Amino acid sequence: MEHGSPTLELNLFGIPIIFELATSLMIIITCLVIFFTLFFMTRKLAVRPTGKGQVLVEALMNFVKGIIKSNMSWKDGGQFHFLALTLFLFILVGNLIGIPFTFIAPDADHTLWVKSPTADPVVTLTLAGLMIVLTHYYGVKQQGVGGYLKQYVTPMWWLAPIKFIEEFTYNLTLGLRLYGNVYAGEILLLLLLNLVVSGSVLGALGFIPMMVWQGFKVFIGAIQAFIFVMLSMVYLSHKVSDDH
Amino acid sequence: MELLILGAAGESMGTAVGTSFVLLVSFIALLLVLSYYVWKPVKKIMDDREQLIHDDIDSAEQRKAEAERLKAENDALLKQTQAEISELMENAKGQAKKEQEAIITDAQTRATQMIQEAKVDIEREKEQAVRDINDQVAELSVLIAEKMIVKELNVEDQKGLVSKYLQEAGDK
Repeated sequence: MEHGSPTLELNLFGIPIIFELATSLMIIITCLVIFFTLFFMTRKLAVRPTGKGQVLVEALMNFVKGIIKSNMSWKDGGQFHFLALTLFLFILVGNLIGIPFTFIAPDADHTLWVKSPTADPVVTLTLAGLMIVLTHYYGVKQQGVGGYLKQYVTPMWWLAPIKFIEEFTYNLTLGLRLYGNVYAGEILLLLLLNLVVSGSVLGALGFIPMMVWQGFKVFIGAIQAFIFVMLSMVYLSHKVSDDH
Repeated sequence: MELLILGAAGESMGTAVGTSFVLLVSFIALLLVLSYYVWKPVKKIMDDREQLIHDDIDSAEQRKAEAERLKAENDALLKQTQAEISELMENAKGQAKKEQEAIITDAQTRATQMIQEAKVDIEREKEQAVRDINDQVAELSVLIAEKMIVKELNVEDQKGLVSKYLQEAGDK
C-alpha cells in the first residue's frame, strides 16, 4: 500500500529544492515536543532536587556523559555533551513519535502525515552527515591539519584509500542503520493496522501482535538512538583523541 | 543531482534537499535553545552539587584534623598539668616534713635547755635553802642553848662548839 507524501518544490537559481512536507512537519513537531517537555521539566532546579523532572534530566545527562566517557577522556569529550544529548533526544523522540498513532489523510494519495521523521533516509543521512562533518571539523581543530591528515596513513600508508572510503561508509552505515530499523518498524506497524481495520473478524485480532510490535518498537527506538549516539562518539573520538 | 548516489537512484525519488535543510535548521535551533534553557542550568546545578559535596568533604576532613590536633593538645596539656600538680604535691609534702622535723627538733632542744636551766635553778635554790636553814638552825640552836645554859658557857665557846657539830652533821 503506497502512501503519498506531499512535497513542496522551490526553485532557487534553477536548482530544485524539494521539501517533504510530512517529514518536515514531524521534524518540527519532534523538536517542539522535546523542547517543551524538557523546558517544563527543569523549571524548578535545586541543588537538592525537588521534582522528578530534574532527576530524570540529570539521569539522562549522566547517561550520555557515560556514553562519551566510554569513548574518550572527559577533557576531550566534554564539549560534545550538549550535542550528544540533543542528538540522543531527537532520535529517541523521533523514533517514538511514530508509534502511538497514525494519521492517513482521506485523500486520493493516502497521504501519511504522522510518522517518525527518522523513517526518512534523507533525515537520517543528514544527521549522520552532520556528525561525520563534525568529526572532520573537530579532528582538524584538535589535531591540526597535519595530525588530521596523518590519521589517513596510520598505521600503514597503503591503507589510505580504505581509510578515505571509510569516511563515506561511516556516513551511509550510520544513517541507513537508523533509517532501516525505523522504516521497517513503521511498515510493519502500518500493515498490522491495515489488518486490524480490514473488517474481518479474524483480522481484528491483529491488535494483539500490533501492541506487541509497538512495545518492541519502543525498545528498538531506544536502542537505535543509543547506537547512533554511541557510534557518533566513536567516530568523533577517532578523530579527536590522539591515543588511538 | 545525478552526481549523488541517491539522486541517481531514479527520477521518481528525487532528493529532498529541503527536508535536509529543515532538519539542519531545526536540529541546530533545538541544540542552541536546549543548551541555553535546559542543559546549561542543569549542568550548573550538577556542578554546584558536586562542588558542594567536595567542599563539605574537605571541610569535614579539615574539622576532623583540627579536632584531632586539639585533642592531642589537650591530652598533652592535661598530662603536663597532672605532672606539675604531682610535683607540687611532692614538694609541699617534703617541705612540710622538713618543717615538722625542724619544729620538733627545735622544741626538743628548747625543752632540754629549759630542763637544764630548771635543774640548775633547783640546785642553786636548794643550796641556798640549805645554807639558810643551816644559818637559821645555828642561830636558833645558839638561842636555845643560850637560854638553856646562859650562865654555864661562854657564848663564844658554845657557839663555836655547836657550829662545829652542825658542820659535821651537815657534811654527812
